[in-house]
Amino acid sequence: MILSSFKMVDTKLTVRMILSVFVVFLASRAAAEQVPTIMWSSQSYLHDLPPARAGHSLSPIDLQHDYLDTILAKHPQLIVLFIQDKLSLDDFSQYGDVYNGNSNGGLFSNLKSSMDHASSSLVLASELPASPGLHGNQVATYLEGRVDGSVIPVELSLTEIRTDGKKLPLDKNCLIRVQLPPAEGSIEESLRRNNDIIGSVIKSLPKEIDFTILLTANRPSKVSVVLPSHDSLSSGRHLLADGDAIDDSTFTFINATKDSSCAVYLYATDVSFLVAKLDESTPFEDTVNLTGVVPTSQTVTCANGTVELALKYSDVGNLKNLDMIIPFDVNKRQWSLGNITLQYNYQSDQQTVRGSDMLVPKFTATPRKMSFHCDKPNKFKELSTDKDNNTKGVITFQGLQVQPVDISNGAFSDANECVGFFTAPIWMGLLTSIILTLVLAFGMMMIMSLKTMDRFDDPKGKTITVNVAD
Amino acid sequence: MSLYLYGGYTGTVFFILVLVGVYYALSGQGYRFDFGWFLTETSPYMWANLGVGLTISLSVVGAAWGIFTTGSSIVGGGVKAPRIRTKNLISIIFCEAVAIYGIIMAIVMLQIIEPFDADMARYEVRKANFMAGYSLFGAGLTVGLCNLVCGICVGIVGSGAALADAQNGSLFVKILIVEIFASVIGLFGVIVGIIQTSRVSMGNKA
Repeated sequence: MILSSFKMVDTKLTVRMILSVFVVFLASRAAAEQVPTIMWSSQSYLHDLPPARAGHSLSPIDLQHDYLDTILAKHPQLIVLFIQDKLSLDDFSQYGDVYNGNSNGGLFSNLKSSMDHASSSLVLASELPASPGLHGNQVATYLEGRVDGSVIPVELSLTEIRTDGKKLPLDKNCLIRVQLPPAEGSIEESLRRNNDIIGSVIKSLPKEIDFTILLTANRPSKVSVVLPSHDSLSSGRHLLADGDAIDDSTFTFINATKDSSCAVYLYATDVSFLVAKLDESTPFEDTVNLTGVVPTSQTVTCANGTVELALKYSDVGNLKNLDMIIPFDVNKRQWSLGNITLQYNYQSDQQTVRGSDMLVPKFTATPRKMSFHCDKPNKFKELSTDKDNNTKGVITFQGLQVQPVDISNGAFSDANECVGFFTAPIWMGLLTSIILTLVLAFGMMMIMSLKTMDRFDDPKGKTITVNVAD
Repeated sequence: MSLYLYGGYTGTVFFILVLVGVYYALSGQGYRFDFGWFLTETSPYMWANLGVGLTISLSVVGAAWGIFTTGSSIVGGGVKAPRIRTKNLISIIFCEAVAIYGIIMAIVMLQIIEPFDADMARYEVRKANFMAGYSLFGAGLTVGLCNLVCGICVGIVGSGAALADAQNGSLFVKILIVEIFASVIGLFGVIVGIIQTSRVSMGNKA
């Protein structure tokens, strides 16, 4: 009875829940393009404004109409506007020491203490204006246009804010606009500097005038990266990346394209070349890091059945030049890596090493239409060292991904990993364990089929008694 | 009850293997289901040592089974006819011979196992070492299984011989002829095993 009544309510609730999840989903798509607008005031009128709705980002019109107009309508007060270059709501969680009950706000300590002492506050999320809009500047322009008192811009590098020099008319609104300096150095340093500026501005405000302080930013600090190959609704997560932080020296990407049917992509997070002299008396070894170095020339040649990538590096550190030819054997169903030939010329103060080598890789063949990926390929082993010069040159890749045929959409296809789910040692262990458990099972079967002799058992006969003499 | 136990164990192992195979097939990784890869990537040492282990262990199991079958008959028959005890030790010796074949083959196979440098090996060296591994595994199975069934067979025949001898002394020699034929099959296994392992060698040279 209870269950049936629950069921009747349940369908409505489920529909509503699904709808709200859907809406939050859609809204969260825009989550990364929001900029927080935070306002707090010594008066409590902010409580009367429409509250912030979770997941909702205000359009500029709504922000102006619902919130900024009300702020401007209050006389007389001091409106202080802080414009930061980049800010996201996530920055507060990351740098604001929020997981500590007694925290003072971390790198936002002055913000937190000022908001705590304010009579009312609001945290809103605003949409970015149409490109190339800068949200903070737009808010500033709107307020400057409508405020009836004076507008006092504050210079950036001020460590002491002088407002006592200027007369503040006590019956009008005034706008103090502080453009916080853009980020230099690490994020923590710039946030700390902004915190100090905010603190000193707030401290220097005259106490007798009511104030409303706004903190907003021109752009969000975290941008979402949308992968082109994923359907926008089916991928539930975004990669939130710091847009400025791609460092070209941490990977090597070689795109050797001759035409649409002959192209080789090679990617590695680490490329290094080991050169050694195999003298017994004075052994010498050196490693040259080629990660992020653009090769002097990269050419690809396609014949039927083979694709060859020729790379030349010159003048990298002590390595005068390195010529590398990486051949791929391609047939209709699969492609595989052939023997790599190297020719190198290395000169340093101690040694000159010159030679040519051939490396034989031991990778399985990859089906066509797939790339090959290996995180720690340890199979480029030199097998024929140059015996005349007694030298050795080995190239190692880490995080290698390579595809010589069937490149489509300008990106790597699905990767054939060099390490599968069952590796060879796992299979060996499984086989031996199965044999041993078979032996165990056989033994158990034998033991459990042992029977005691019951031919002469007679339940009705006389029981045997054995007298034990002490 | 034991049927459920063994059926369950076999079923579980088989189910897991089928599950893995179907997963590979359905996720577009069918190329990974590769016996060739399995045979060329697993170490030849595993195969060789499995062969050695199987040789000695299966031979000993066969010999033991035979001895206990014959032995219990001799002991039982010897209660009423004590004259059979010494003569029927021949059956025990035939069973023991099977174990001796096993240990000789195991020692011969052990001498063949040598270390080799897998990473640096040329193609011919790897080929020779893998062939040695597989040959030793095959020889181990050959010798082990042959001796296993030979031992069981000699044991049952010997048991019959002992009990017949207890009844009628002239029957022993006739049944001994059957036992000799039974014992020869173990020898066949050893001969084939020797041929299998005679031409293989492991090491960095081959």
